[in-house]
Amino acid sequence: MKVPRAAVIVFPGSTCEVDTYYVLNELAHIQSELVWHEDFDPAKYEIVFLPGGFTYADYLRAGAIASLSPAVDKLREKNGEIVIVGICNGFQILTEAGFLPGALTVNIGMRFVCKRVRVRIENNETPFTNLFERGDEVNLWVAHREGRYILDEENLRKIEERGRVVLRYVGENPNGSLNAIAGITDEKGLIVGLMPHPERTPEDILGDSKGLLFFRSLLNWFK
Amino acid sequence: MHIGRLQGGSVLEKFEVEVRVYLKEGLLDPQGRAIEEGLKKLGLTGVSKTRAGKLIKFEIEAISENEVKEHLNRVSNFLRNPVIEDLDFKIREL
Repeated sequence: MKVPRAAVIVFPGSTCEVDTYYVLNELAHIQSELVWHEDFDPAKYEIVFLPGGFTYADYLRAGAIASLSPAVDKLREKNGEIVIVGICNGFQILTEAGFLPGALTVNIGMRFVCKRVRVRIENNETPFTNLFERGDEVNLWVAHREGRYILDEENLRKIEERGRVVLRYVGENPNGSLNAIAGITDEKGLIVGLMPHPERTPEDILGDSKGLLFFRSLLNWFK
Repeated sequence: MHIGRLQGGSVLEKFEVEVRVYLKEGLLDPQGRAIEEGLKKLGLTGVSKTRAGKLIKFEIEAISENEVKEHLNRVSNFLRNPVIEDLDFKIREL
């Protein structure tokens, strides 16, 4: 078994990096480091996290400025060889950088939404979801103002047909995303972007431990 | 007449660029909708199709207006997100 190492990339304005790092190291037992976005060396890691937050204060568009970071350039060179997970603002960075299709724009209600939502696992073959059954439903927190997933009709149909929708809101769609999409993957299935925060429900003391399964899936992936 | 700076044998002129970025037509614009509600509250009647966008303005040195346009084409997908936004621009020689 290959022991994967993870980097959690820290940008100016990241806010969820320590939570993510804690869950990876302490609960999922994946050796992880917090890495400043200018110092990232992709050769040292098998897994890279782009954590939640408000990089560059969401100036221009959420994730737009961070998508020009040297860390993103280096990830582009390693595209297809490395597992990348973008949570919330990390998902926005991945779409802005063109790693994932579509765009995340202002919620339909114009407001920041912070609440627990119900999400269904639509694709359990990704590095981040393989310990779930397809169709499993979990409660996860969302906390964002720009989470409405948009994609043109033709490409939307394509990603649906190819099973690239990983997570879908069930019941309430908190931001007006097309097809209630909460998370998607790339063509090779190595990059996952999602708006909900599984790192916020990793252990019972936080009300729910189902979020940990996402992180444990990473270990399982490298078995 | 203004004489521009010399660089590599070419004269660089200064241009002012204004880029307008707005959500694509047909895409729901919640901000535009909120502004429209405000306009109606202020008594404006018959208001429709309110859209909100961004204005990005900068000055740039270049040999010609055409060169400025080339630069803008190169960075246009940074200034707007092509999935959801369109842009247009005005270039004025200073």
